[in-house]
Amino acid sequence: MIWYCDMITSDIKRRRYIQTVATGIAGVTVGTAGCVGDSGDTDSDEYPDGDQSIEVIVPFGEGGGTDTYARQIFGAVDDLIDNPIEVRNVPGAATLRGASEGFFSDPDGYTITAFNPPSTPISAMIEEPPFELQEFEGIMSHSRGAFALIANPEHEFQNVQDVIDRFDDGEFELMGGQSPGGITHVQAFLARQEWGIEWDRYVGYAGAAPIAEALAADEIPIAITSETGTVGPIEEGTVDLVAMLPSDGGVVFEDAPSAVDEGFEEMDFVSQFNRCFWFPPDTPQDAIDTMRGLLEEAVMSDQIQEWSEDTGNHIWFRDSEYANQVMEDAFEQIPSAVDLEELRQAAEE
Amino acid sequence: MSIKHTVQEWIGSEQILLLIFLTISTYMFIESYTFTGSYIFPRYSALVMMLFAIMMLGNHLLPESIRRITTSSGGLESYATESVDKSTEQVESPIEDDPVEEEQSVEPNMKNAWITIGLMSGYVVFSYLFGMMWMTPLFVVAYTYQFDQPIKVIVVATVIATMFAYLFTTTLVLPLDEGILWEGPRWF
Amino acid sequence: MVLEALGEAVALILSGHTLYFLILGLIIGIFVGSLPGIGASLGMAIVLPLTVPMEGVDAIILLTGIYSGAMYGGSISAILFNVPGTAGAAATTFDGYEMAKKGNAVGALSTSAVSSVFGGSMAFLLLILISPIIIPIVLMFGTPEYFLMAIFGLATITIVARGAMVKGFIAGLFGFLLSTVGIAPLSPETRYTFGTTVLFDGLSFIAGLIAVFAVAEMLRLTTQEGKIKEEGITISGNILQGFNTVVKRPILVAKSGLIGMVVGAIPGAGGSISNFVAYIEALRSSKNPEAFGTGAAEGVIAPEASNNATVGGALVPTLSFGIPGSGSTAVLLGGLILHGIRPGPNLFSAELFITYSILIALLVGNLVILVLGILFITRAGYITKIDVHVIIPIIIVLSMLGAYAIRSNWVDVATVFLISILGLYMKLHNYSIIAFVLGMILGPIAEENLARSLDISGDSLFIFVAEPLRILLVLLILVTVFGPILKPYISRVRTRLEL
Repeated sequence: MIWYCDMITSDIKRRRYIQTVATGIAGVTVGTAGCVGDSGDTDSDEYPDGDQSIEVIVPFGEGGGTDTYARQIFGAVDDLIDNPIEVRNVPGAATLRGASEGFFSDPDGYTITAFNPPSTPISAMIEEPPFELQEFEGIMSHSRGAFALIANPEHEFQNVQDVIDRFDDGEFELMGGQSPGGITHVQAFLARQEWGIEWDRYVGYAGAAPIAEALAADEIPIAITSETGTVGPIEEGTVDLVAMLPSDGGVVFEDAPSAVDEGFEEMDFVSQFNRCFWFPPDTPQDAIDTMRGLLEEAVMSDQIQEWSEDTGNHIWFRDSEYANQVMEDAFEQIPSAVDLEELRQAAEE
Repeated sequence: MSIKHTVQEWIGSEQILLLIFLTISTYMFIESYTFTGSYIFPRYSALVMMLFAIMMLGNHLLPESIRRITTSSGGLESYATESVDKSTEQVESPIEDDPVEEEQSVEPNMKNAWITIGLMSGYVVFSYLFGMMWMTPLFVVAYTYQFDQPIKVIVVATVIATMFAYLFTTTLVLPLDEGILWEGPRWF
Repeated sequence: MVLEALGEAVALILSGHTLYFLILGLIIGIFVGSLPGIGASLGMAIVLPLTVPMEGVDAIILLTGIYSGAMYGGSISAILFNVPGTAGAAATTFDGYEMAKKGNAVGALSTSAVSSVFGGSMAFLLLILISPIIIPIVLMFGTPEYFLMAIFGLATITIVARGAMVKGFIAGLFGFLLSTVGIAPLSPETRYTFGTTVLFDGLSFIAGLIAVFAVAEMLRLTTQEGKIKEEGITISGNILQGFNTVVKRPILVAKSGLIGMVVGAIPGAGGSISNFVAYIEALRSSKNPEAFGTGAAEGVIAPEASNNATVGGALVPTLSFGIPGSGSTAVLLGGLILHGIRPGPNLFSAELFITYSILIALLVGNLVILVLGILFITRAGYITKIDVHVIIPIIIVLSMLGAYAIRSNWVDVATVFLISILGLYMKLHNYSIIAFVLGMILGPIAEENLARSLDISGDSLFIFVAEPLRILLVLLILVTVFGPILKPYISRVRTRLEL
């Protein structure tokens, strides 16, 4: 078994990825066919060196939100530089496995990791992996996502206050959400602590689809889940949207009421997440600046803007400072707002 | 019957297999006491597995009535086998499900299996060190050579296997052309 | 909704590339099925990692194509060499080989192809027709029902263990314990990870499937040298004759197909049992039973019509509850999970078109089998003559490459290597591999749903008897577990009473 451990650590450290010409199996890599030598905007003498491939680690499975964004955006970056670009999915361990690979990669600007504060920071605070997530260097943030409070339509919840009243009356006692110890569990804690939804037991599910099924089957009355994962069931009417959690409301359901509009305290530091790209610690500043510039150009390109409009996927550009700030906020505000030890215990019970 | 003979009879490969199962389950049972939650399933599964492994190790010491339970069979299969009065020896190597065969009286030729395991362990370790793409043809050559294949067959098998390794490396974008000791050639 | 999904499924199957994957799967299936010692589950396990970049539905259709093709392919070596290519064709040897010995190998092969096609097609059509009845049943299942269903699946170890229940339980528990490595379901606790993040996600059960179905099987093959090169049969006979004999016996085909489907739907049963049951039933109801075993066409029709229908039956528990009925469906389940397709109500509501796509693909696939089967007949002899020592290294190479491809993780390669050695000895000493696989797959499902059920009920176990459906499932589990143990006592009591 020792042999296992050695293999694993060295595998993480061994992070120089070879250039591989991707042949066109759908979805494995962003296409390299469009590599015309339009490197006028970049300093081709130094970074990025046109021969070296850029690897983008996505700590989620294929086809998820973060994966789709990474492939779209780096597809646009690919038109700007000569370098082959590979998007690689390293799912698992609540995003910490991919983050760990990215963290221990060479800080030469050729390995980028995609993860989203505050979700991954919460995983890091609960799991305590053998590296300091805060040391990642933010490159930029390209979109945000929101969380929503949804319910079984049969119960006809009017708004958050109605939820609170009926939990107080003892009509309900269960709160649903994603896996315990994760971001929706933190939100559920805060919804009880700050807003007064007195749920008794938190019931975790493996994702948005099983949550929607459990609501429809009335296994749980209400649940917190990511907005994008629940668009289908809401439109089909199998679940009801009670309120969006962030003060700015939803990303897809822009006009949906927010709990903050109802007068409840805002908890934006956990009720929305920012999809960001990161470099490992000690990456040179000029590499960060160059990549940020490339990503800004890609995000602002017609190609990405049109994709955003066609699909309804939110897109924005926020710089390195913003990315670093949301990471810092997560590590500062969450431990002071929620008792992490209590959360961990509740999750492990 | 000498003691040595008795011991040899008792410590067969099945007993070693059971000892491995016993070691793993004992470790997992003890380790489960370091968990704060989520220990119920692994702890009690490990405990039951330990007991069953011990029971099997001492199977021939058990009274007949208990031994019947350890060897009693389920419904459908016995229906199928009992009812076919034709010789069931013809029914060989069923792969789709489990082997139907009874406890094998004649020990199969384990030498070949262990030669293969030896070659395979070299394949895995050297692949990890130097890259699986490069070790694949070497493994196939070593294996086919070991089992006395004609040159033509060795070449064909090696070419086919190498082609698979190349396809995996390129189409699935896997770093199989490098190992921890060798970064691989840069011409890919 | 049903018709809409059906339309969507038909459109998908006919959309070119999906059809291509189907035909590819069938060819691989017939090929691996016809190689003695290599069956559907092995072919599927090896191809599984290769499907990673594919669309989920295409991957599943490719895998089911292999499954279906292998069921037919298994009869080729059964008829020509008296060695079933897959366990599902074991009963085919009884009369198929006799027919071939009498100089009618082509007749036997075409009888096998045509009855495979008819039996299979009937099962898939029937499944499409009864799916509206399955849907509401599946939708009644919530967390507690899933827990009980997983336990029921584990209880079927008593059936699959075949003559060695304690061994079966050891294998099942071992599979389950391996699955507990990594982050616990629904809890941030890590177990048995030695502190490394690479083990946080545990051991891949797909690596486990590759280990036991592919590599361990190859190791076992090395121990049985010389068995495959049996004396060949001259291929002669009449293709049309096969067609005629099958068409003249519609009732036998329908009955065998139905047996295959029903037995296939029982978790833990599968093709290796259904072909015997169908053969015995054909023998029992025959007007001419003494012809059986001497080359009776009925003796080929019955097992072959039933084993292809088994594929359809086995899909029911796999797709609706995530409980694999056999090794092959266990691999198929791995494919579903790998591609984020969750078995359960979803596959009968929002994603109904996936279920229909699989069924229609198999239906269309049966027609393709007919064409390929007839094309293959004259060349079938060559395939089965390939030396095992060429197949073995290539399968091992594919397994190791595939293991790494699952998650780019060397742990998976090490897992395949180590489990394949244990798997070899488990096979040799009759420790049920299916039980091991069931434990590995169903254990975590049981654990997760138990934890969630107790969260819902506030730690009360009464949740499992709170509704009639749950009580029914509990009874089913009790009968499955204690039935085989009590059987000898019950029959003893009965004989005493009769005395």
